[in-house]
Amino acid sequence: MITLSRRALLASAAGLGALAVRPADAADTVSLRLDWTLSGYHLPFYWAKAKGYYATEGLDVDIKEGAGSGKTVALLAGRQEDIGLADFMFMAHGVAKGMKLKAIMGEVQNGAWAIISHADAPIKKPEDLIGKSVATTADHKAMLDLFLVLNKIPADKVTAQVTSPATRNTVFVTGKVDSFISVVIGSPLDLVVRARQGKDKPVYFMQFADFGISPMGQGVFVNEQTLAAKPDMLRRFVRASAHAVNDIARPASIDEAVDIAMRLSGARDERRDSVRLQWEETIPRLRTANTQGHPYGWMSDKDWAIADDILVKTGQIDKPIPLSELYTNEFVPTS
Amino acid sequence: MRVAVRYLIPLVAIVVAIALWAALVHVFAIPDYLLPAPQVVAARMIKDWPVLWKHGVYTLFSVLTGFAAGIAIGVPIAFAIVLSRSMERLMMPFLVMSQTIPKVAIAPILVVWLGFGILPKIAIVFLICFFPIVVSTVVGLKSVETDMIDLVRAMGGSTAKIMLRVRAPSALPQMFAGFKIAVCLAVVGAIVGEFVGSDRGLGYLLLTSTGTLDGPLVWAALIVLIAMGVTLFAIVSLIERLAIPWHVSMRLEDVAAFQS
Repeated sequence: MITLSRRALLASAAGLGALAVRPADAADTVSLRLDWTLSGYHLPFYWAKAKGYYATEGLDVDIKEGAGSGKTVALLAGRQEDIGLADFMFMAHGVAKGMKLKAIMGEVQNGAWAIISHADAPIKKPEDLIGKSVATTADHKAMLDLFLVLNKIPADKVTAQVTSPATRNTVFVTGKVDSFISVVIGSPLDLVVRARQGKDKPVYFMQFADFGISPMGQGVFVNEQTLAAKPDMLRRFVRASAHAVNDIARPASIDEAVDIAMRLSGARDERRDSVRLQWEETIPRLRTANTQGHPYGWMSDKDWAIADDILVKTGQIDKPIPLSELYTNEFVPTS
Repeated sequence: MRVAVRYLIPLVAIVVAIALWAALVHVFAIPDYLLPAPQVVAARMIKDWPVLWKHGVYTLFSVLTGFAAGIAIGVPIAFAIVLSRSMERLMMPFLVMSQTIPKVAIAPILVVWLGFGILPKIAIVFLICFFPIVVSTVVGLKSVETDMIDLVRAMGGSTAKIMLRVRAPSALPQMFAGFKIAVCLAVVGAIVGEFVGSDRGLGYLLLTSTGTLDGPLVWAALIVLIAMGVTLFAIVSLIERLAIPWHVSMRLEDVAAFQS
């Protein structure tokens, strides 16, 4: 018995030692679950993989597409994946409901929400929504409610049609609804590209930021248990990912970044233009006024407090979540 | 005594299941968004009863309308199929095709065609109910003893009379079996319709409460849905009992409802 346990002890000690001085060829296999099929803001992760940044850090990252932030958040809460990329508002909402999650790298720091309408019947200001219909996916409805509340538009004057994500843009294009709510840097830009190609009618964006609402957007988060167990792995992941953001925030690299992401994700070729546009629209949103001068990925208390406040105002949570429970900058490289 | 046992056993089973549910949530400290405790769900149902009622009535309306349309259109088609061989050849491929199309896949198309009102929901309920109704009615109408038909024909009975007096009554047990399957599917159909695009109904409530990780409301809506399905099934069973008291399945005491 004694020898056995001593042997076990030795073996585990050897295992720990091996972890610490892991040779470069034995890379850690890490899964990264995105929020949707390819969107512009996924480009840095594909770039880091293709350029070997993850490999240099001893990581073998398996990038998987998602089916909405809500699902990615749930997967991470159940520790089905190592790392997630999702809308931070959903993550924060999950934390308020008891999920053990934490943001470790901000990417889109300004959620860039908008009401998208047809350019020939534009919804330009909140009051224009009265008497109109808005398609929304179930998880975006809270954001629509918030927009109406903050702009003092009675909710019963606006028809909110909850649709499945696959149906939302179609019902808008076919005129079944007057508008829809979405994050700008996602599929709405596919509509912009289609309009440019003459396939659909032009659209108009009423940006929430113009009316004082700019919550957190997409970023990297993990389960608290992963954070406690593998801080070193996360540090390396964030370092490589931030490196990639730095690279492709420069206009000169965008073409190549789009090529890489299209190839690695297997996206349909007709999406190329919109993916490019999505990334171009993401670049100015990588930092907010509160994170200027800091490295990419760094998040500010002020921005998170705004996000927290929005969740309280929409009635999604009762009281603000302590910011230390929502995010940490400890993995973001300082230089 | 017998009656007591008959109702006691399912009652005890349900109580035990709920107790297990409560214990499971308590022991493993399962968070609300995954599985709320039964007392939490019950409290929520009481608190949000007006909301559940409003959305439930809407869903029930599309369930009943679609189901009624399924019977009103399905049964005559079944009669036509049994009466005419060429009708059967004409209809059957479409019937089977209509059934093999996944309803979840055509639901978005129906919304694009029919808009956001109650019409696409009724259409999906109809599509999902239609097939079991037609098939069971056809089987029922066909499974009458040929001796009986020969006898009535020998006595001068017309085809129409044979249909109404011989085939139809003997088809009733089969038809009700189909109706019972259809009414349960109808509830599923209504939810599928609401999942794709809606501004009310229990499916809408499920979607929006899932979207906000409101576990208790999700489960409250689910329980209302289950209650709706079970009640509709029970009502169809009751009508069956009244309509065909002579059938063997009805004469056997203590026979489980789904065995007929």
